[in-house]
Amino acid sequence: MKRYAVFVATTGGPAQVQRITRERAPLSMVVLGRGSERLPVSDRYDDFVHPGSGPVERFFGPFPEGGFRLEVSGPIDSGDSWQLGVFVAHAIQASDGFELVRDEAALETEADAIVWLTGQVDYDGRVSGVGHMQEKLQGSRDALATWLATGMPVSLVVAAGTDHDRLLACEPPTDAHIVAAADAMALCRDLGLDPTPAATRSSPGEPPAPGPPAPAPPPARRVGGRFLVPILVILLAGSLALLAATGRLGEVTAWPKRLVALLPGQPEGESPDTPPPKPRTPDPPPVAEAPQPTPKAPEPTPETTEKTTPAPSQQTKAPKPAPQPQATEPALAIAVRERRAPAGASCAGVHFGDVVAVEQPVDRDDSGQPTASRASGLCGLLLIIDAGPAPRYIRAKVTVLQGRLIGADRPPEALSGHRPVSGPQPWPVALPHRLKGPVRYQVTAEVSEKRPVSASRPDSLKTATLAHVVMTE
Amino acid sequence: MIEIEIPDDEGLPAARDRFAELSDTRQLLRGDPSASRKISAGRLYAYANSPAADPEVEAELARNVAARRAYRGYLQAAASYRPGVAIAASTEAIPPRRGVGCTVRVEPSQAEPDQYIVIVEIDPAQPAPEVPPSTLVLCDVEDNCHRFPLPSAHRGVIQFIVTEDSAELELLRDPRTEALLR
Amino acid sequence: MTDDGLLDGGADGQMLADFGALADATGPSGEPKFPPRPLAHLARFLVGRGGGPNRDAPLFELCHLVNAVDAAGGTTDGRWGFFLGQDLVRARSCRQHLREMLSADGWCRGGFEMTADGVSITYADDAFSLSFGRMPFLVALFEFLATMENYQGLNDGLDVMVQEAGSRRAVQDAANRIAAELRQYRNRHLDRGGNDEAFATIQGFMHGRVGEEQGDRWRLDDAAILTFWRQHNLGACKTYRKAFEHFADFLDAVTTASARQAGAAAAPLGADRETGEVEPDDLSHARSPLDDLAAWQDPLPLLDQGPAAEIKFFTKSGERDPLAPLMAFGPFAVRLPLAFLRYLSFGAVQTQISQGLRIHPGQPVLVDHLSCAEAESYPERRDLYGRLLEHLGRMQKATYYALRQARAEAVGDNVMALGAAGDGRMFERARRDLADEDEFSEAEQAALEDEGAREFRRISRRGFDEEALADEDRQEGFRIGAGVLYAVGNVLSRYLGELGKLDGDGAGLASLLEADRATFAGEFGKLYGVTDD
Repeated sequence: MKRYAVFVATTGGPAQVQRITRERAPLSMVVLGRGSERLPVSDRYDDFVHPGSGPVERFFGPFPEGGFRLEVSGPIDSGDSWQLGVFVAHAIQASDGFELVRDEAALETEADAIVWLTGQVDYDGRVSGVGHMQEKLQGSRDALATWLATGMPVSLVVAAGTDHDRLLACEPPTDAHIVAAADAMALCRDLGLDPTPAATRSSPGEPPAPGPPAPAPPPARRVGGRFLVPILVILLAGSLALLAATGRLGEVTAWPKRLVALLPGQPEGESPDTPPPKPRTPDPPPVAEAPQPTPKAPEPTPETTEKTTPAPSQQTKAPKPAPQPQATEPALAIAVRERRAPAGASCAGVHFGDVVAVEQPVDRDDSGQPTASRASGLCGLLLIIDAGPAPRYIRAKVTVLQGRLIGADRPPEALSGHRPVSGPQPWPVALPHRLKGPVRYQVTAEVSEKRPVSASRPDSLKTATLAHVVMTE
Repeated sequence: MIEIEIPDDEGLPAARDRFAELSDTRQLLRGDPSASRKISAGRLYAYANSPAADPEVEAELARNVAARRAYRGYLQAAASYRPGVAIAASTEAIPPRRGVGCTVRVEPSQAEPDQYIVIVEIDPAQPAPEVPPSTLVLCDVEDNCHRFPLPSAHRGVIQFIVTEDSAELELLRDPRTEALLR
Repeated sequence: MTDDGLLDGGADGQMLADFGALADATGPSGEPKFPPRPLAHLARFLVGRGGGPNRDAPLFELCHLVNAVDAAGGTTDGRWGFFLGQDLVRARSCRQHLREMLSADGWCRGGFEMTADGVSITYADDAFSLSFGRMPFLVALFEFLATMENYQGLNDGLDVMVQEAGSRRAVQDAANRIAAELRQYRNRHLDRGGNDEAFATIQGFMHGRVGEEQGDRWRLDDAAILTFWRQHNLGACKTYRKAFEHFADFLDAVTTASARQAGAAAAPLGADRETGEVEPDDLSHARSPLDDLAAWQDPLPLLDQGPAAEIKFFTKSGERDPLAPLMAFGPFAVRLPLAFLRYLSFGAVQTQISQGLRIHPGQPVLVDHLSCAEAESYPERRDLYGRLLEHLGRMQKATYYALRQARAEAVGDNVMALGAAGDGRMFERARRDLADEDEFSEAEQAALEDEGAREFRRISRRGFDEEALADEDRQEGFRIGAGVLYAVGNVLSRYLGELGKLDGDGAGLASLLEADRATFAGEFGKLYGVTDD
């Protein structure tokens, strides 16, 4: 077990993130120590960890019903510079073999390393500067000197760019390791962390997840722990992410045509695995080579569960939702297609070669839910979220309840809720090479009519969900 | 010099009444500095509608059950939400209060055994009051109404932590305690 | 218990506390929540002992107002907000509060209308109207009812009323219920025994002074009050001021009863038309109210409400406070000038002694107090009143100018000016009274207008702003003020005339003061001095 002491740098001195626990309460809270004082920063923290509004749930979730209780050793009154420290603390919480040091007085005996951080983290995990470096460093000088005197490794983490430059200009302790962070997840990996989604995690120190329904038990833990992730899975995930981001794979300079055909208007984007990120272009043009959607562009089926306007229950092989001319705000629809290798070909050929996958819509049961797919020969799934004819903001999320999906961590840019889109929007995900058990997942799409989803009030959003399972038997 | 007619026997009763009226009026208007001080209904109402403390009003409420009832009436009328009392059949240790547009419940902390989380959930489907609730009022069976400041709502939820020995918890444990939000 | 024991009035401590809770209430700025007039009206209503069909009329009016407020707000909290939630209760604040209640959705029920002067209500079987000027009194009445023993039934009864508010009958029933509660409250907390005893004591004293030559008339002079006090100050009437007040009340009661017997109801001063009160500037129409013991009403509180309150006619400590006792007693003080001087000078010394004993019970009274060494001198009081009369003259001239300017502007706009105010008539009357002349030439009148303009511009007080004279509220304020200035000036002038007679050749007041000092010092010594045994 490796133990990190995480400190949020404030102008009033370092505040240690002492403990993160779950509570049966809807709002997450920041509390001073073990006490009962809910700090004013709690609302901002709740946004930071809440589904749909903060990166913590996005990268480490989904979490069961309830909120977090985050205990700090000193007051954090205002601003958002605590976000990077809190993000890393959650990453520690989410990583097997790691834990937070709680007792500041016992740092020397209990901590393996000390991390001192300041910076903001956005929904995509990008780190930005917050300023006040001189005051923050000044406020922590005594503590830093004490820590360094123990010989423990101490890292000072700030946002790359101006904050980093200013920190260096302030003559930080020479023994400390200075880190310029641009991507929060990359930082976590640099720290040796390997956070896994909550649904697949069972930390010893974490109380049982409250609230119904408890997700299905996670599959067998990955063999070899955090450092022995199967190479193939990593390669596949990284390759798909790179593919989605650039349309390039290794020496391949253009998207395989059939894959491109399924990804109309796929913009350039960043992958959490490719730090540092490029500046985001608000509405990037489609890849030049990408053709327009084919007439057979997959469209949602009534498999979708639409909360505001339930879709009628019907089955169809061609999952093309019927237009809804009466509705002023068309219902949001989600569909799923299976992608299999054709006879004589392999999934590797589909993913990396020139093999055209055989696609077919997933059948639905009597209740309108998609039936289970068979894992045998299944290379991946194509999720299709239909935004309807008028431009709308769609934010999609895949919550893996059991097993693993590749490329499901973050949606394509078009489904990130940052810019308006119209028509069917594809989201390809791949299955691991060898499935050891079923994969259960849920697709959630939130739609906002007028403004980016993150800027909308939660109660103004319409939501559609689809639950699906891939069975190994 | 003043000269007036001596009233006859018929006029005397009316004169006596008039004299008494004038004398009593003068007495009321002059007041009596040695008389005990009373809290007016207006002051009680102002206290019910302001977060400010008023030791004299609080002392009066502590000793005067009629004043407490009146005060409770003002609080009820001015409340933006009335979660009310808990349902009698509730089996929960700290029973929830469910009113129109609002629920008040308590969850034990998973982290600290002597702490509880008071959760006030506002139903966004109900019309919102002009002023968001800022005070939790808990009235016990003896009409003692206690006011507790609330943090602001976030995502339609107001949430705060209390300790095992807090007054809020003691009151909320009794299902007959009425909860009001204002 | 105060110094005056049995003769202090019939209200018990509970009622005094209930009323005091309202009288002492202040707004956030420290200003009294209720102006003096509504409070005085409330006090009169609460202690009212007379019968008759109209005795509970204010309760009837109150129920109508509750009905209107309910129709404007529609909630119990709306009712409490109007009747209990106003920081400073004024006619204007009541109007503003109602307007705000109506601004959202208007009347919740039909039959109600907000007019320029108040609210009119049309029932299925009747109609009723209430003026904004009447509302502060009704609001005070509501608060008293809600305060008295924390009367819980009030709201329940009113809830029933507004649910059936389509008929006047429901209003009448609610008023009757409250009246029954109030009667019980009076029976519990208002005792008439002490007052009857006081009346009988004074009656006996007056009878004892009737000589053969007086026939069927009582005569009261300055000496009589002093004599009465000296006879009773060790018993039921310890303070001279109380004795003076009791005689004032006694004469008021007897003359009012006589007038009622004669069928001539006295018209009190004020703007409450619903209760038959007269307009303040009606004072200029007939001289009789200013001389009538029974009809006299203190005019100064008229300056505390409505548009007149926006004009600073008097400073508080330098002008209004010295005038207040004289205006409270009016013709009674004018006709008993020396008794009133004693009330001011030696009454003040005795008040200081009483306060000292209340704060430091058992402590010896200061020698200066016992000897009345610091009693206000009579000549100084006369000089003070003389200066105040001069000030009143200037204020009258300035006010005259303000009214003339306002009328000129209004006539210029082809608008009827000032309604029935008749500023010219009023001041012609005033000038005749003050200058003892019957006629003014046009030249003299023009000269007076010039003088008024100069005085107006010389006064740098709130409200004396030439540019604001076109404002209707400001004009109304000066109109009310003019009537008050006239009444105050009249009484003050006559009182100074009486003091002049007492002073005789110029040394009269001083010698009277010394004689009284010896008398009061002797009495105070008996009452408060240290005895040898």
